[in-house]
Amino acid sequence: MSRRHALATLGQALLIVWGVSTVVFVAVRLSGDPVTLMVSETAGAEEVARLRHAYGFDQSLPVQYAAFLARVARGDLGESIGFNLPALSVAVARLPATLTLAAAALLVAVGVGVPTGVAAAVRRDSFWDRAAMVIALLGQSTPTFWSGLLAILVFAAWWRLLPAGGGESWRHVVLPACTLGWFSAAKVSRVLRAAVIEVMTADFVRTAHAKGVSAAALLLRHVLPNALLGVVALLAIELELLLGGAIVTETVFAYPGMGRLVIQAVGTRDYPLVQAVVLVFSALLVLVNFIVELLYPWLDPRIGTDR
Amino acid sequence: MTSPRPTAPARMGAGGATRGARRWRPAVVGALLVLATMTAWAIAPQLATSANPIRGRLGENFRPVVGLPGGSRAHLLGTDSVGRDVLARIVYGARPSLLVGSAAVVLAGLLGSTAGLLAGYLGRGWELVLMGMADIQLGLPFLLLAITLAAVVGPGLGTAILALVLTGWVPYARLARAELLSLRARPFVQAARAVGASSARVMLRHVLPNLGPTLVVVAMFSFAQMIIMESALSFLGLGIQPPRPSWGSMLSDARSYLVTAWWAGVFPGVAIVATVLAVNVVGEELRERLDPKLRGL
Repeated sequence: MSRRHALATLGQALLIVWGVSTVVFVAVRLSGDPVTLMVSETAGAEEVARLRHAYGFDQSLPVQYAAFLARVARGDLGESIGFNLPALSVAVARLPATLTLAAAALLVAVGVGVPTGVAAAVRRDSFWDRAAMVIALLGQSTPTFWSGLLAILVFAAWWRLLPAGGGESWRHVVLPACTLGWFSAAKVSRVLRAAVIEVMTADFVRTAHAKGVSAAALLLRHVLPNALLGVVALLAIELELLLGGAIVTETVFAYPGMGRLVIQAVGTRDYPLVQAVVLVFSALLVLVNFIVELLYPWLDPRIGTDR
Repeated sequence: MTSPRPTAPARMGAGGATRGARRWRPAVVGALLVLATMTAWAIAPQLATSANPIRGRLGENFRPVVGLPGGSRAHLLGTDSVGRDVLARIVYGARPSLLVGSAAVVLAGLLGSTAGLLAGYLGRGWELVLMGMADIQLGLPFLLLAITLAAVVGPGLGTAILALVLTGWVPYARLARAELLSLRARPFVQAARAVGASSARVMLRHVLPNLGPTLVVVAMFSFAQMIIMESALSFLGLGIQPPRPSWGSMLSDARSYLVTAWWAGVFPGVAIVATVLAVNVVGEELRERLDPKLRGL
């Protein structure tokens, strides 16, 4: 991995963070006066004027923009109105819960998607292959908030196997992670199936077969390592989708992560907190993408790093 | 590779005559029926149900599905916590879903393909700007943008469409640009240029007709995604506001009394899945008929 590639990728990541911050800066000013978003409806004109001055909204836009970027760079995203604490620390406190959920969901996606994808490819056009395709199509058409409700109904309300909501122990992660992960499992399974089928037609596989490599060794040593490369790229995209999907899933299961926090913050008009969670979320997405960009040439040496 | 289609218009006739005798599969017929029903509900809900979707009768609350003890034929799919007919709310909920989805797809498609064509035609500088904007998209996915907008300008139909368009244009732009670049190198486009056709003529007569089918297929799949996203927004309380019925907000309501009235939490979801599945199946069929090179996407 070249240092130049790493630096270029890092530069791009920083550019994206800057871009997102700018979008947020513009969005806040879309409404005209951001202070009206922050104070309660009963606040007097004096209070509004005081806050406007305190936040610098009475200054010119370029000055405000520079001050905003400086504060973002320092990690100062203002004070949460609901919690009376720095917004950034409120958001970061919920970060581990969301990461746990996304990681568990990714585990479900890989754990279910990889075996079914390989099985479908090996037994191509069998009953199981068709069944897997139908389930994958169904999985792609089912919103997580509905499959989550069904999971609560069946596993929590009727069979009483798992808790319906909350986040105190690992048992609370099982249902949300499965709900969130099965959507991705469907996709992993389909992509891996196509990749395995494609690799199996490659010349080197035919050669290995001709010199007498057993079917199991062929699959494990020659086909899978090549087919899984495509899945790694997919998983990066999936992890980003899972983080986004966590917002909805956390709301369904009353799971105490950043997603549920931001929805509550919208409801209580806690604007600084919304802004903090959005920026933390997007920094997280950029970070994931950055790591994958760095890992990819290492995983697949055929990809040049000097694009 | 596929052969270029120099003058062929977007072939989407009802008979789908492109490949001669391609049979209508039952799944596709079923999907078209589902979509026809949903469209009819969206246009004229009062014809499908006589019940009021907004005002319920308190004495009639938590009536189960017809056939269960306590259920009645007046409420085929039961009633919710304030006695509103679940079926009526599903029927009336079709309009916001299809409206937001189709408006967002059309706007995002127009915006995205125009941006992509411009970037492809105008060259480096524009390309950098466009692709930079597409990259920012990566750090600010749909839900985060929708949340920011909802917090600032308030939740509602317009906010939902705006967020969907602002995040939905990227694939069209990428596709239009890539296709333009590859089409421009084809002999038939070069021939058109050689005989002196203007840029606008080349674009409208030769590039767009070849781009059309691909864009239609992509639009179909993104329509399915947008229906899901619209209902997700309503579920989170950031889309259509109660008491107006929408599938997402019905599910959100039902969450608090799921154990008492499972039907209120099951059937709106069935409506979403049936619609999205139908759109996906029709999209798959269009892909097969219109654009074989997209297969396996």
